[in-house]
Amino acid sequence: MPKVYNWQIGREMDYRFANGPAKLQFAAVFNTNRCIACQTCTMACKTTWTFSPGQELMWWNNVETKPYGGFPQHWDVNILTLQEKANPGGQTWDVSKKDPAKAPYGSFSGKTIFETADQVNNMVTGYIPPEDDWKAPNIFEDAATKHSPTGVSLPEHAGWFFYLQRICNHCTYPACLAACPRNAVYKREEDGIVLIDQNRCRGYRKCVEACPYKKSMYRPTTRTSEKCVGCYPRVEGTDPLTEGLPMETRCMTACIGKIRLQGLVKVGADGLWIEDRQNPLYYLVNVAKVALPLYPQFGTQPNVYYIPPRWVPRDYLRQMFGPGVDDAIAAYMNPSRETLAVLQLFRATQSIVFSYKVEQGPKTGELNVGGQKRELFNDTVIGYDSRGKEIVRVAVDEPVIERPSQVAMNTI
Amino acid sequence: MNALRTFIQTRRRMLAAGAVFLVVAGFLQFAGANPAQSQTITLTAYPSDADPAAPDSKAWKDALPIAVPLTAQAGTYAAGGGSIPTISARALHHKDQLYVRLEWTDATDDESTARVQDFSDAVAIEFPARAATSVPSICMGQADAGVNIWQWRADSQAGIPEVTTIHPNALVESYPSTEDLFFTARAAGNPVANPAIGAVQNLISRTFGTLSPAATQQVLGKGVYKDGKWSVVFSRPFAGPDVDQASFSSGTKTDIAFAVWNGSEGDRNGRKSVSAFVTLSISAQKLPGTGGGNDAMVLTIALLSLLGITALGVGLAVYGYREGRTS
Amino acid sequence: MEQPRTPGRAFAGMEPLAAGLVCAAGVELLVLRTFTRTAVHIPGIEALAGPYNVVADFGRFAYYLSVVLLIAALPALAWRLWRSGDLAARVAGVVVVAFIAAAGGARWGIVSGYWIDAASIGAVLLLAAVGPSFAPWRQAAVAGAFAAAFALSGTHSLAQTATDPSLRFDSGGLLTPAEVAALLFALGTPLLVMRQPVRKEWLIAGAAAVLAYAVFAGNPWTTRILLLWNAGLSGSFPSVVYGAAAGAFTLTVVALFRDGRRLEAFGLLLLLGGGIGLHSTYQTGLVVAGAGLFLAGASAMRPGRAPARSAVIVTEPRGRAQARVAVATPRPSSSPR
Repeated sequence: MPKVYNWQIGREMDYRFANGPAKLQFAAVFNTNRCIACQTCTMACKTTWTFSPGQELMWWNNVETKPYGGFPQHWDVNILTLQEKANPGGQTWDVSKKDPAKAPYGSFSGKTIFETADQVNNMVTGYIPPEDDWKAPNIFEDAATKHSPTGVSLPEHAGWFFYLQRICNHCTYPACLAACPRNAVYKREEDGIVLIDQNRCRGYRKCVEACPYKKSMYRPTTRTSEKCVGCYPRVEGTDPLTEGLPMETRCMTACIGKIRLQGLVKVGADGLWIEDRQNPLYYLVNVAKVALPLYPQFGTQPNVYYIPPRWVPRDYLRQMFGPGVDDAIAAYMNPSRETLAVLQLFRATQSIVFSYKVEQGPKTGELNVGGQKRELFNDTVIGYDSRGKEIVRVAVDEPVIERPSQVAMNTI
Repeated sequence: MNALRTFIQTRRRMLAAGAVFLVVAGFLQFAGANPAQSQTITLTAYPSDADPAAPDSKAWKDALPIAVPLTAQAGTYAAGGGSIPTISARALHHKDQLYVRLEWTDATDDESTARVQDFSDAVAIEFPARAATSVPSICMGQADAGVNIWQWRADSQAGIPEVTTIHPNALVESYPSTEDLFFTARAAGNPVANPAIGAVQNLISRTFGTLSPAATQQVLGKGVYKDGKWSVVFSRPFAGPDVDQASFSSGTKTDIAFAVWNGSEGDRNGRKSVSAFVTLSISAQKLPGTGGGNDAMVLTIALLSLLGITALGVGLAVYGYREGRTS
Repeated sequence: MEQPRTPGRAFAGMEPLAAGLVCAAGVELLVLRTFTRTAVHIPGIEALAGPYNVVADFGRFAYYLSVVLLIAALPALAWRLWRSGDLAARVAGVVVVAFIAAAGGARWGIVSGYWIDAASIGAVLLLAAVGPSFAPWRQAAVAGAFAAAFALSGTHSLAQTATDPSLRFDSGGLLTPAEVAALLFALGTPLLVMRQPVRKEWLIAGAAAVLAYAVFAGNPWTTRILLLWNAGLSGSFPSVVYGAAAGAFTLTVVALFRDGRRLEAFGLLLLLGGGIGLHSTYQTGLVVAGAGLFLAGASAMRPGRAPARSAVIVTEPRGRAQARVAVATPRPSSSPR
């Protein structure tokens, strides 16, 4: 079994295939703090891709209320339980082994979903959620852990919930791909998007069983499995709207809460991201370390990164996003000038921003966050497309424009 | 000096004989003429006058079954199975078509794959491809010797499910389109998703993970579940349309292997009960009349003579032993 | 004192041919029957199609060479068995000729598959049956165990293929006794070594036993399926039994070679190459040749025809500059011409 390097768990691990010749990797940052669970992303995806017979229970994008909600129900608790059973008490992190580039969150001492499988009966530890688990995609919507009659306050709310936005993670080491006995799942080297070849799939549901995020879904009317395609025509730039330039996916661009930013990052043959400091995703994940992978301990190196919700008990968040949670929340609560500027790029354009530049602006105010004094500057962030052409320019201060009363003729 | 000459002469003779052996062997290999004959268990397909397409056709009444043991597939990834211990196989040919009838006991009738956790009962036959020059690996063939697989699936025979038949209370206001294009796998030409192909898929494989549809899909099949047993008949014209597929003709032999999937056990892909290769003989002669008893009589005579010779041998041994002691 | 003669001198001329056959069949067994059947499990073998094809073709050539040598060896063996003059040996010679005829007939479609199967079982049984009359009891017992395994396994095939329904029966129960007999054969072969094995022999045998055990325990499924394909054994007993059988068999073969009892060793190896049960006339041919050579080689060991047993002191220079003393059985001459 080849060894591959998984930087999210800070160590080598066993994977069925060696690293391929990837060039770019689909990646995204979701800011859970801003999501209002309007499900616009969900419907954008549904109406684009999964509106046909047999896809009724298929939601490639979903937003679930944590900690109780889940699509399919209890997917994460189920996998965590299987893993815990396979390696009782051993699923821990060694945070002393941190390395800024190769192990930013420390090293995972436990076993990945690949390492707990026997490699003969199963390549990956997993399960097939039965049909009933898929029938209520938004179950436990807005259900908090308890009622807090006296209100809640930071740093941890007494009664809490938060929204978790989920699409396929287009993992660097996809479990679905490792599980397919007939190599029908593949990862594209040009953008790292993971696809199921609909010509080769024979509906064995090994990918449904293996994917820890449960983003491979079975379609009874074709007897095959389908999954999020990463809106690959848009990412390729074949959508006429952007005239050949790579464009963000439907779920990203539809986001009215401006919580999502998607792009393409450069990856090396070792599975590590190649340093690309001015790429907004590289900056947020690897420099500011404000966004974290979802359940990195599963070992698939997922490529959707989450800015963790700042009011949620930390032990829950550490289980979900790994030991980088405390630093990430600190970096988000008290952002640097650059982080604040880069966060303005979220949903500023449909085209993929490949690099950015920050132009410093004047100081506009001061505020007190958690006893810390903070200065605010009206910096401007400029986004560039794949050709280096400016496509967007946003200032930190949202301009306030007062409408003159005398030109309000055409309004009510 | 003499000894040396004798030695050289013997050596030379041995070298010459060795060279002859090598040349003859090389010639046989080049010609592909195998002087040996397979002796594995043989499934003989006799010609039939009646059409054996239906599993309950009376043509099958006189066809003698062979019982082939099945084991779990435990050699390579996606291992498992083993819940079906044995399969009974019969074969006939009729109007230059090969018919193979397989029967096995399965307590559960699994015909629906409508739910994500449902798997179908299925059965498959594996033949060496016409192009294979040696018996291929039973495990999905090998790069230099492919296999031709016919797979019958209960769910394919049952047809594509409608959401309203799976869930009678389901309400879908409308689908924007129900064209084939939006049944992605069907639009991509995947036989699994194509209701027109029917219950049997004709597949080729050249090692693990390479199973693909054959260029032509002309294998027919019909399965019947009755009294806890599946009976499935496969049929195909003798002539294989291309070298990746098996080809048959009267009076020849080929290899045949079987695999059974038990849907309720989660069997699919490599998780199945598999057999080894047995020989399939396509007989030109009719099935010898039953009750003739020739075989039985001759075997009895042979057995008696064997016993006699053994007794003679033992007698001689005892005699020789005594003689040895007295000398 | 009369110089000890090589065993089975009447058959000594068979040695080069037998050696060639053992080599060719061995390469065929290892390359064609074992390597090419397991190569699909080797990761990345697809990328090595060129070298793989060369090896596979080499294995196929070894097969054809083995067939040719077998075709040459069987009549030669029959001829020598006949010429040895012993009645039982002559019967054995006739059996070998009958097998050649039946196998040829099967190849050209004159003899039906069922009859060549029956003939194969009969030939092996007959060879074992005449064994006691011209070979010592140890050899006869070993050959008998093998023949029993072969016949039990073969009868299972016969019961499956008979066209006469009255000859069909549920024969699956024969396979376990066949397996037991085959294991007894392997485990019983050390009976043939009529002396204390030396340390080197123990070491080689021990290594073979450990290797066989490791292969069984390490990858039981592949090993068992190979054992079934190659030797007709199901491998259903605990791994340690197969390890012991491999060790016992290796010990015997090594010891026989060291004692100059090459024909017996070649015979045993050919039995191994042929395996039990019915696979092909080629493999059955290996068994017939193996049984014939084994018994022919053993005929020389018959007490009745050998000089009286006496201790012979063999001194060989040893590594530690120490003369090692061993007791060896005298090597008697073969039966008279």
